[in-house]
This record gives sequence, C-alpha cells and structure tokens, in this order.
Amino acid sequence: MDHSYRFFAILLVLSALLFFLDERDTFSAAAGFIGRGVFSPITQTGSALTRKTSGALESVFLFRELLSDYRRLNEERDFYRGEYFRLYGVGEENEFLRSALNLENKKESELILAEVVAFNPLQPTHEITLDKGRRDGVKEGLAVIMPSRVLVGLISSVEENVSRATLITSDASRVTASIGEGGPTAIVTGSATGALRLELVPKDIELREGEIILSAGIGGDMLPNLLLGEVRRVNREESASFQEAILEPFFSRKDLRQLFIVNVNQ
Amino acid sequence: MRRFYAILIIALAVDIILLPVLDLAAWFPRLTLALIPFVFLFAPPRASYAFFAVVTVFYWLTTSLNLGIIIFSLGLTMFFIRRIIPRFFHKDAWQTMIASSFGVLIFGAFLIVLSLIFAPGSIFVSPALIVSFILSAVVAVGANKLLKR
Repeated sequence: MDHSYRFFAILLVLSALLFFLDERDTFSAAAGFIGRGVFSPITQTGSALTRKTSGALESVFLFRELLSDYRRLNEERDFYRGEYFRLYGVGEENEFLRSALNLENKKESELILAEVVAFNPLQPTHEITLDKGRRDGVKEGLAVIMPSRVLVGLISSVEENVSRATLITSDASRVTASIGEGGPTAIVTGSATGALRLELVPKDIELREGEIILSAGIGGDMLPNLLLGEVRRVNREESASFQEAILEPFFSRKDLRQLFIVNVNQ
Repeated sequence: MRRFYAILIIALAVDIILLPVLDLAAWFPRLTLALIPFVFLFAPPRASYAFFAVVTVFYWLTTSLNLGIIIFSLGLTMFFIRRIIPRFFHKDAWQTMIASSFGVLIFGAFLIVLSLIFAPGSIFVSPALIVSFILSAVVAVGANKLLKR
C-alpha cells in the first residue's frame, strides 16, 4: 500500500509540476526541437508512405473500375454488334422487298414469295422444291425468279402445299430468249453439267462475249426481259445452219433461298 | 525485453504513418493506445516506463494536450493495469485480457475530463474521438490475446 501512495504522490506532484510548466510554455522550445528534429522527418516519411500507399490503393480501385468499364463496354459492344447484324438483316430484307415491289409495279403480276425447301440430291442443278403449292395459287409453267429479275426456272409440277421447279440449268429446260433489245429469238437450254447453252441463233447475228441474254417472254406465263445468262463462248461452225453459245448463269445453288413465283395472268 | 521495444517502435511507426490521415478518419484506433494494456501487463518495469515516457512525449507532441494531464492520465492507467487488475485475476486469465482494455477507456476518460476542466480549449471532444478510444480498447483485447504467447 505504501508503494501505491508513494506512486500516487509522485504522479500527482509530477503531473502538477509539468502541468504548470507546460501551461507557461516552458517546453515549447524542446517540443519544437523534438518536433522538427525527430517527429517531422518521421511524419513526412510516413506521409510520403501514406501517399504512396493510398496511391497504390487508388490504383487498385482504378484498375477495378477499369475492369468494370471494360466488362460494361464489352457488353455494350456485343449488344451493338447484335444490333448491327439485326439492322443489316433488316436492310437486306428491305432491299429484297424493294426489288420485289419494283418488279411488281412494272408488271401486272402477282409475286408469290417461296422458300426453297429441297434440291434434287442427285442433280442439284436440275430441280428445286418450293414451299408454295396449289393452295397458294401456284400452277405449272409459272416463272421462278430472284429479286434481281434473274430467271431461275419454271414450275414443273404442283402439289397442294409444295411445288417443283425445273431450273434453267437443267437439260430438260427450254426457255425462249431474245438477243438484244427486241432482237431475234433463240433457245436457252440447260445441260447435265449445269452450263447454259444458247441455241438456234441465226448465223447473221453477231454474238459477243459478255453479252447479256434476256428472256423473250413468249408464252402465256413467261415474263420478258428476265436475265438468263451472259455469253462466255461462241461456237460458230461453217457447216451448221445456226450458231450457238455457252452462257454463264446469274445464279448458283447457294443463291437459291428465297424466290418469287410470278403469276402473270393475275 | 527487445520484443516490447520492437512493439513500441512498430506501434509508433504505424501511428505516425496514420497521423496525416487522422484528420479525415479521426475515429481510427491508435495502435499505441491499443498496446498500452499489453505492455503494462506483461512488460518488465523498465520497458513499461520507457513505453510510458515515449507514449507521453508522442501524445504531447502530436496533440495539443497538456503534458501534466497526459502523464497523470497515463499514470492512473498504468496503476490500474499493473496494480489493480492482478489483484483480482491471474495475468494470463481471459478476464485480465478484457479488463485491462478498460485501461484505454480510463486513459481517455481522464484525459478528456481533466483537459476540459483544467485546460479548456486544448481538446475538442467529438464522437470520432470517443469512437477511436472505444475501438482502441477493442483492439487492445485482440492485441492482448495475440501478443501474450
């Protein structure tokens, strides 16, 4: 107990003494010296360390923000990429419909939009099956075209819901063609290889490579001036009565997805 | 012995590093405050007095508190931790770990009350200051538990 009293007594006296001395700013010089000489450098070092630490922490947070922004921008990019392709599709569809509308305006005809549902597996250049049939107003002999006025073939058989079209590249196909605007007529036939042949061309007609051959529109259901093919090679034999040419068709199998069946009599 | 000096230096270094940001986060626990109970409980007398002196000077220089008031408050805290608590609990008992942390609150309470009475204007009592003392006391419990091994 004596120790405690002594401790308290010393503490009280010391505290009171230092209290009054401190109140009179006795230690201000010492405090200034310790503050400047010892604490200030440590505080400044600590401050610098703190700044660096906080800078590093800020960098971490900044990095997290950057990551967050990166993810958000990626999502937005994906969204806008999707939008781009959607609009691209809409644009294609728009173009397709514009072409169809233009065609429909020029002719008094009904266009029946049809999807190609099948190719003849043995002869893909011979025949296609379309998803429109008798129920939709399709009948034999109608022309099947692409929106860009390219003649693809003619309806050869019709069922209730589907129809088959013989392509102009088929060797069974015969289409009347005109050479030049209002020029003489000839026959475009297909072949087993899918090449188009222009036959029965009078010898006095000068066929040139690159010349475009159009349909003559002869026959009840055939439209005139549909694109048939482009002249690639001309065969002119002196002994033959007519000349003939090899044509390159304006379509390939991969182009045949959506087509129009043209009902001219409507 | 060296261990206690190392603890003192680390605590001072951490507090000094945190010093510039204490204006923004005044409620931060102070490590030197939190280590007072551990040092006064377990350190040998010489190390305890060294800690006492260094902490006193440190608080005197880094605050506007009166030196006499700091010494008196810290002295009472030391008395409470070194003399009173061991009369009731064993040094290593968990009750001691918790009770000694009240020393931090006693230090804070005396510091505030005496400053308000004898040196008004030297201290600004704010909720952040009180929270800081309470958090320091909480940290002191953890420090006791961790460092006494």
